[in-house]
Amino acid sequence: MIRQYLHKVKRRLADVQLPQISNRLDFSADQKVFEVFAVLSCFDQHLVLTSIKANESMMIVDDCLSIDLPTHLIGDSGVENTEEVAQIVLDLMEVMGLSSSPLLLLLSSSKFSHCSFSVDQISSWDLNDPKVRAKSPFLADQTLIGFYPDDEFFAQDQHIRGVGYANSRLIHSWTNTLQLVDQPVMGISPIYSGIMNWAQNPINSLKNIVFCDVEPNCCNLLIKSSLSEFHSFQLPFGSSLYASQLNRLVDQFLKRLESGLDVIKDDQSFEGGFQRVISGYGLGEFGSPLASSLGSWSLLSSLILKDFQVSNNLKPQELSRHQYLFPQLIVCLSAYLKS
Amino acid sequence: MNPINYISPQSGLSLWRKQDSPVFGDAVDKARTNPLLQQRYVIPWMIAGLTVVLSWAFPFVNNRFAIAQISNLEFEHSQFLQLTARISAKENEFDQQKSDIKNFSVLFTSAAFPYPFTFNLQRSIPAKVNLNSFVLDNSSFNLCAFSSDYESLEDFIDLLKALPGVDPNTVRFTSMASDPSAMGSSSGCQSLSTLQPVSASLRGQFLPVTTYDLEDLYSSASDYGQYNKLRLYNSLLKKIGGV
Repeated sequence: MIRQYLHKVKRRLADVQLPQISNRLDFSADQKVFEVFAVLSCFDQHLVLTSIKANESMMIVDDCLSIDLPTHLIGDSGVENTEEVAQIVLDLMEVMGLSSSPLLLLLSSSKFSHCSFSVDQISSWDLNDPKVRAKSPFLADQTLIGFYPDDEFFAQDQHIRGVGYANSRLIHSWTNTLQLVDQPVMGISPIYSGIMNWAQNPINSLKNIVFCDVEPNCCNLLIKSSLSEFHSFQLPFGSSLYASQLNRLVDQFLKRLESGLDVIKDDQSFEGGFQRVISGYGLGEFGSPLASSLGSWSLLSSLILKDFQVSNNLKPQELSRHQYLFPQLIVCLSAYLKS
Repeated sequence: MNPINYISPQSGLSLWRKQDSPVFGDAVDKARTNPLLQQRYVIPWMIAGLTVVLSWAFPFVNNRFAIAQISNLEFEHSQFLQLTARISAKENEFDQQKSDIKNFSVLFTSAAFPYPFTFNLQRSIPAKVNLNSFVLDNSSFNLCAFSSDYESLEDFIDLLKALPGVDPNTVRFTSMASDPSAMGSSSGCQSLSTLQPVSASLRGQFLPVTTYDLEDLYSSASDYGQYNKLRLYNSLLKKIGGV
């Protein structure tokens, strides 16, 4: 009877998120203590806040709320009204009970660019190197550059190094917003950053991978063509043009995606076979016909199935709209937690 | 390997650090490797016993705890009041928007009655019938029609009664004659042509029409500009729960 009572106490403690205390009372071997993270993602004007419970062995997508903001709050080049957007984020966090959770901000892949250089090509890994700056799709004075791996992890025997480009105005506007939110921040990353870490884990490191992140207005391709060589590309169409419950339109979308990919592979002289992985917020618009039309594409969710669960608390409309976004959030958060 | 992160060290943001995490941090690992803390049966009972002893020995601890709880409750209450005030402000804003939409609604509905009537009427005039005068207001119509025979005008009256948008119980013809002299000069509906000697003055009222009826009408009239505008307006109205 005492044992039953202690089990009950342990469950209550786990529910109220007091991990240290419930750890001490843990009489079983399995880990059921979670930390709750707030993952904020933004696609054009669509803001999604997801609550993810995580521990060393499992992640659970616990809740999700999304909101479409007008362009005078979030524009094409970043947050236009930081005070208002910060207040909205705080309200969403309060409603979802995330007021004390760490926040991770993931921005649409379409706002970033990534390419890889052979180490021999670049004389010095300096942010002002003209060869590095020349690949930026943004204006020179509005470009933020990040090396991947960063200086701390860059080994001298590596032959390839990645360079990520971002628009400084976008990053600064979100940084200012997060300052007003005043919560512990994990990072500001492009949503493909988690995929890069996932593609370099021991299971995938030897494979060539094409990852397609589908958004309503564009498709972002991240191509891994050797051990650590990544290139990002953007196709000028998204799922909104083909949004339907019809198999025929999903097939047309995938055919156009294939032909776009073929053109890029020819242009860039990528050779050999590629594993094709697809995911992204935009896929939610296709509904049930998607699963039967994918052909050679694998859903990211099916590849990381054992690493995450979706809670029953999730509202059905949020689940159907964002079910293909959650795997990307999971791999990004996982990359942060494993780093 | 670290994921790509664009937060600059000088950003001034308070950063989450893995080592401080209660689940992923170093503190947890240390606790797990500490042999004393692995005594899973002993430590909970020790803590419980210690708590009981302390609460007996130092009753003021409990008092302070109660004071802290009251202060927390007061703080939460003030937060609640602030939230309530914000909700009220948003409600007022919402009411204002509803009122704006109501005004907007007048724009669509003011032309709602005559439009379906004229649209349908132009397709319904029998071959031998001519209209001389054609007066419409927001709720009724007044027509003067000529024909070569009574049958055509009777067909026309039947068609008027069957028109969607017209209340059939209100359709009246005030005079119908083949001899111009038989109609009063005040009627103003007299045929001067020998080819169409029969004339009739017709009155009636329109049925109330909603914007949803208009939507169907614009669609069947292939007036897609108006149709799309009205469809957006109606879906907006449905979303906010009507005006």
